[in-house]
Amino acid sequence: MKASRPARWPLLLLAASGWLALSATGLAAGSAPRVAVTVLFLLVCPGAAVLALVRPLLGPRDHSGDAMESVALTVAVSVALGMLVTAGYYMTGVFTMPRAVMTLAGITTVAALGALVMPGRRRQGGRP
Amino acid sequence: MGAIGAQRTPPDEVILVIDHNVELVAWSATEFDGVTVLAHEGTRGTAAARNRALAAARGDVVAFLDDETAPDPDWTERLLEAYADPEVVAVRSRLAIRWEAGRPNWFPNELAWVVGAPCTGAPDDGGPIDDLYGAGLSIRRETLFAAGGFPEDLDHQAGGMLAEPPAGAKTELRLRLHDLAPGAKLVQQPAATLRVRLAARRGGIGHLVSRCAAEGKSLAAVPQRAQGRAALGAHLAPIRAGLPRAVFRTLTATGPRDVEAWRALAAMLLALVATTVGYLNGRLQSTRTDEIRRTSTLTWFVARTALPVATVLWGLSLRSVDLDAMTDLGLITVMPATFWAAIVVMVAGFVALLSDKFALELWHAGYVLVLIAVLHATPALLYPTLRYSWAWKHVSVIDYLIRHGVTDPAPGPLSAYHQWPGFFSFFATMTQMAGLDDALDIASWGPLAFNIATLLPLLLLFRTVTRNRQLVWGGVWVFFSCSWVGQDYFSPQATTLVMYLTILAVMVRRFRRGPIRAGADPDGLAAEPPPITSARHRLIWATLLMMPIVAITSAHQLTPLMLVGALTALFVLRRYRNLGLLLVTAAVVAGWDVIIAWQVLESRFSDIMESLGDAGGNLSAGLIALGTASPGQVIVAYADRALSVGLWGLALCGAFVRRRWLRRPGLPLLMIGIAPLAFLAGGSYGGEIIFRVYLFALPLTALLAAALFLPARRAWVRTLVFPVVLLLMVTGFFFGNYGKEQSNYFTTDEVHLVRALHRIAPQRSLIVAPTFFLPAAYDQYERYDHIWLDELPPSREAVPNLPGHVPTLPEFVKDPSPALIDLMGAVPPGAKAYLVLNRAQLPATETAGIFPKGTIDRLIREISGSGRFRQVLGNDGGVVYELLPQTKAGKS
Repeated sequence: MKASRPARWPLLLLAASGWLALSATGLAAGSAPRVAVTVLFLLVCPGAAVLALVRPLLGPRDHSGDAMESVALTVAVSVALGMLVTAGYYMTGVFTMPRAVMTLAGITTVAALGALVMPGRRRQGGRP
Repeated sequence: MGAIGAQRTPPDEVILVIDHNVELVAWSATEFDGVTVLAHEGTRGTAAARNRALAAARGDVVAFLDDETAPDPDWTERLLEAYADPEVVAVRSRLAIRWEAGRPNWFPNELAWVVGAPCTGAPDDGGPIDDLYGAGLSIRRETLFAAGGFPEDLDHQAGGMLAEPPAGAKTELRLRLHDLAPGAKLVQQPAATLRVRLAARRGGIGHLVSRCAAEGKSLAAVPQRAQGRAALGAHLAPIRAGLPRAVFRTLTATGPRDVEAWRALAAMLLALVATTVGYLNGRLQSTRTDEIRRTSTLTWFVARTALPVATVLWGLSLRSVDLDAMTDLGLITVMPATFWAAIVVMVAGFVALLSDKFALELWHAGYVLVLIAVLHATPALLYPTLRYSWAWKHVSVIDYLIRHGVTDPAPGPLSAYHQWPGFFSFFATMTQMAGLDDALDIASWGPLAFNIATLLPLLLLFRTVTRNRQLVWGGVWVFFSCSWVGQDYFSPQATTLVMYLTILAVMVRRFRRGPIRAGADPDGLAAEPPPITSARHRLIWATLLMMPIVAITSAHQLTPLMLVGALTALFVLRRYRNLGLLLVTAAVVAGWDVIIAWQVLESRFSDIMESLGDAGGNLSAGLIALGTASPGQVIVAYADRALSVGLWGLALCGAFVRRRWLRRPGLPLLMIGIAPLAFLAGGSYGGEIIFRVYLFALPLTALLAAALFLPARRAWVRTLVFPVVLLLMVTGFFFGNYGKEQSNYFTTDEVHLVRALHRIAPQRSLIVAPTFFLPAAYDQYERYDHIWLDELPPSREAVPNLPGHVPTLPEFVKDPSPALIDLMGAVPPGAKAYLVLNRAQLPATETAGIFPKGTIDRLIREISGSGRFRQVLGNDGGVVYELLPQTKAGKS
């Protein structure tokens, strides 16, 4: 089977997600779209980008339950990154909300763009 | 048979396998000379029949035909020509298809693969091919034998009609051949022609659909998922590519005369849908179902209708709940009959679903999600404010971070939260990003969210040790209905528990470094073991896991220690050993504790141990000193214990019954589950640690308890005993988790009362309440001092150097008013002292038995009569008294 190139737009969207979330903080406080976008970003995006970046290095993904594992790890890594970044800012006393969000957005962007140019990126499991 | 006899180069040997037909065997044996006739009685299907022949064959090359194919006279000659190249291991013939009853006028060329033609088009020049799909296949015998023959478990046949093994079997065979000899060539020999006569029954649309579904299902079962998916794409590619043309022909009524355009289009769409549905269906049935018998219509019906019925009943039941009518048995006393009916219906439906072989696992997930919602969203929907004073405290800490933007490392009553701030900083950021005033809304839905988040790692963990779907989902159900210790509220430990389980699930799945000896598995419980990983892969996985590990370390005190314990236990197993991850984790935990949190560890050790949890929250009569708990609370306490002891008993029985499974495939879960028991040795934690151990061991105990009943061989166990056990568990959960709701739920009046107090109280004032069951108690906590009377020392000997103005608990109970005046009189100048008596204090102290009955009433009478207290605030939620400064009149 020939390895077809996967679409680029999900990673590009992921790379932009943090900045979208940051711009969503300009919406009315507590409004539904703002809550949805920010919660979704904090719980999903950084981990999804990091996983996309290291995915080619992690070996094949064809055991039963691998998709579930990816979802669980995405959330775990997102929350972990969120905790570490925000705790770092709070403990050093330099926390501001935009600063923390920009750091997380930066991590997400770098990881997602890194995943885009990562060599060996192809449809999973494409064995010759 | 005639065509084979007429070959110009006769084959060395002709083997005829007859599938499950004794008469035909006898007839063939007399009819055909020089033919080995084999009767096949084992697994039905073409793949199994061919393997039967393969075992008997002696030639170098084996070629497979069936009752519908007839070779041209030069077929064998041409095939063997291709094997002149020693690298060629398999040769496929060219097919000439003829329809016995005429080609159906809806059959487009794009669907030729459905009747056995190669799906990717065949090169005319005898070039190499990259799939084996299609009839008329020949393979070198030894290679095929080494590859294990045709994969029988992937051979899904459509409608009992024997035909070529479907695509999944062919894909898997190709992968196995490739594994054996990476340089091997698969070629097409266009000169070797095979004439296929398709019987009339193959011309029906029903056959098309069932064959497509079988192909999809077979592809879904290919162990290498990505390869199965790729082969699916290859099969569907001609249809997708042909669709635009078919649409064009339909619209313009053009195209070949023997094909009716719109019917061909419909057939293509049908094939596309059928194959995809077959594939998805196969993917969703990824757990083993062969233990389960075919389900009756009743079971099917109950399993499908109970879930919506239960959900509706639950929703209706929430409309008529009078929380004020709650007695000392807790939430259980105010839930209407419809609520319990919903639970009974849900349990019945879930048990029926477990015995349904064909149910999609989405149904199981749906039941578990509704169970989680019933157990954990009920308070969020019913209560007017956030449940549980500890959750209120965490909201207050988040509020502190939002207001100050920095943690407060100075020693203080809540300093542990500032030394392990990960959870608070994360949700403070989320609150600010979402633009919420406070984290109350997030906290209300915390229990639901944390439990749902637990579901995925739990499923992963269970599936690494068993593929039996009854057991996996039964274990998940037992886990949630026995998780009564109440550590899943909005808290660091709930967040870190999810990460803890995720890390361990990945550890067990990805860190296997050696083969697992297949032990005896009489019940067919064992899982397909995860693949062995290389050192490089393990290194990368470990790096990825460091993120959640460090985050756990930054967010909670006990969970990282539990993680180190579990990693140590896994280290005992040679196959899951990972020294690096264990050492780094231990170093990170020790580093955090020493560098960042040492101050707290050193100075406030007892506080930390207390903040590990809230023993009071779910502990019961045993710890109570001065009064006697009300009868309801005693029942609640016994129900907790009965549930816990019962679960452990069931788990031990399950471990015994399934001991052979537990020894091999279940071993990693066993180690993860018993690792927390080591913490029982550190008994200095008071009664609290036993509940944490119960919680951390729950994945193991829940699965083992479920394994006692599942997979159930006896019908009465499945239909009578198991549902009753599940119902008892859910009932026990409501006693354990919601048995103290009289003091865990707060009215809006109580919240208003405390907020009003915070508005009028000057800085550094002292706020005193009988217990900490006070909503928003810690709002703006840096401005006030707090004293909870139930935390007064039990005696003067227990606390050396106790200041004279601080009474002991017995002194307070004996003589409340003077003790309080002494205690509250010691405030700095300008500050005031307040006594808060909110609604929840009465159940929290007297019902629970902390104070003797009537203490609160006596307290109110005495302080009203003392002339030293003035009521400054009051509403239906309670009253607030202020201690008046001592006047000359008071002295005299």
